[in-house]
Amino acid sequence: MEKLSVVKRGIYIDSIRLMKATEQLKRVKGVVDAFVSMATETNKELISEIGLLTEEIRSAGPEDLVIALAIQEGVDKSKVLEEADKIIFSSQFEKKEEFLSLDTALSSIKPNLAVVSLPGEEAVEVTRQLIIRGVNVHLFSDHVSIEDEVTLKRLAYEKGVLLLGPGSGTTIIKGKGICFANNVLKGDIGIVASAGTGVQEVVAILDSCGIGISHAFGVGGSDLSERVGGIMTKMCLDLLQEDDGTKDICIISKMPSPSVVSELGNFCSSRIRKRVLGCFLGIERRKIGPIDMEPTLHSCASRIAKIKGKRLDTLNLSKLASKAEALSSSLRNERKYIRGIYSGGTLSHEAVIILTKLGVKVYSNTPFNKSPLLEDPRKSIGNTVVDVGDEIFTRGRAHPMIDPTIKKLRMKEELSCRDVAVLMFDVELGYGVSDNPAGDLVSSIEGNSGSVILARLIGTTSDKQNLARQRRILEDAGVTLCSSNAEMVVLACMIATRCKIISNVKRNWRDIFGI
Amino acid sequence: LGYKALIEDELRLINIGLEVFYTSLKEQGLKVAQVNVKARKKLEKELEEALERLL
Repeated sequence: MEKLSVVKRGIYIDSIRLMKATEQLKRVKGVVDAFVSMATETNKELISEIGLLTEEIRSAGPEDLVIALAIQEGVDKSKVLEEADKIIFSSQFEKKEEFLSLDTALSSIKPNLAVVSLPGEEAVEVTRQLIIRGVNVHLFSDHVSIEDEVTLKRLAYEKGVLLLGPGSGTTIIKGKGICFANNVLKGDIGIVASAGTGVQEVVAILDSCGIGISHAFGVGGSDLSERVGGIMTKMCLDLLQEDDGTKDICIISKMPSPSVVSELGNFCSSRIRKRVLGCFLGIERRKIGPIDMEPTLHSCASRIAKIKGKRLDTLNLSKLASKAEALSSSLRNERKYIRGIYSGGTLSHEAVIILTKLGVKVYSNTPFNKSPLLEDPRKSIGNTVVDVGDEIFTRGRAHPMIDPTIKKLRMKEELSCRDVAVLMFDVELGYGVSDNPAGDLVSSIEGNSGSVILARLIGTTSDKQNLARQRRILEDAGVTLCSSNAEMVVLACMIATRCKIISNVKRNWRDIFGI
Repeated sequence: LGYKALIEDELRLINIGLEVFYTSLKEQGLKVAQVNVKARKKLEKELEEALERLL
């Protein structure tokens, strides 16, 4: 086997196209392994990890495209490279309506919403221009400073437009999904969220029991922080208040600033005349102003279902305990740790909260309260939950829900550890992700030599990827699927402790599941 | 105000950045155009360099 690399200076192609090209190149005759990407530092590290780094690639910069290949001895290199060019560049000429100038696009399309997913620093300037011109923005990009976020959101407020984001993964307007979103039933629940996968989890659970939503606005993970003060959450609440198609409102967030929570309670008391539910991960079940708080995404969905006269699938402690016993029966004694590898930041945050509640010490790159920080997010210690969608992993790379390379490598690494009892991960279906998210991940769990593997597959029967088929792919690979992230975390905990924490689970059951 | 148009009017979108989002919006039958600001920047740089060479 020999290494072959080419650097194409000053050529930019987005990471999704390059990821697809990588997969196609791996199937070319004579190619053993391949990696096509922009030469960012993160990507160069990944190329090094799979043993394909060359001096040529090392010297390339983030504006350059690199092709790194491992080919069989004696293969005609020029033919392989010709094939690589065909694969990489042919897709560039697909027919689409495209503008090179923002001004021309604005005058031709007269958009009422712009979706921005440029790298952080470029995204800020483009977003500012859009807001000034009165266009609502869904800002998917992260790596935007809190100062820029505050400035942009204040400007948006003055101009009377929404700035959904930065770091907003999911918005659904009248059933249409912006960025990562599931194809859900239409209904009368309106959602405002600073938690992308939190929305996906709740709407997918609701969809499974026949409950739909009117709209879901993703305002970005920092909107309810002290500095931002919930500017966009309040604007979206106003919008849902005035919307005739919305009967009840649900606010979903990771742990917000306490002062903002209290202010939000006052805001809802004075402005909102519809029922308001909330799930602010880290805040227990209680009432804040008129907002009825639920502690987990599962219990929040359960509460909505109850209001709508429906019930979630019956889940009970003895069933879960039997499942845990069966799954842990073949585990070797030294396998005692849980490893959670998440693309969804909200789900990873919820996992840390539930594990901590159950008395499990868990390291994480997104710690909660007194749970310890994972100093090096690339290396797990004991029980670890990692959000691989965190900014440290996405600098110079697409989010793992688009490009799962980092997640796959990490899952493989966890499964190679002899002390890992349970590997748990999330899979999201819907708009914006690949046609086969489950299939993209299963290769990383091949050769599992003794850990239990759990997954939360978030999707609806209307999602384009075919929920049943995605389920089958995972189950055929030996994965046990769970009906919610909360269920997965509790099950993982029971497996890893061989049900020793059952009394803790019993005590916290209603808080976690709301039933 | 502009934000009310989001739920009152038909969605008209522009996508600036990852083309996977353009594709998914198009798949849903939405009116959407891709804006490639990177290509414009590259073009401007090339034109600038060409002009410098000529002058």
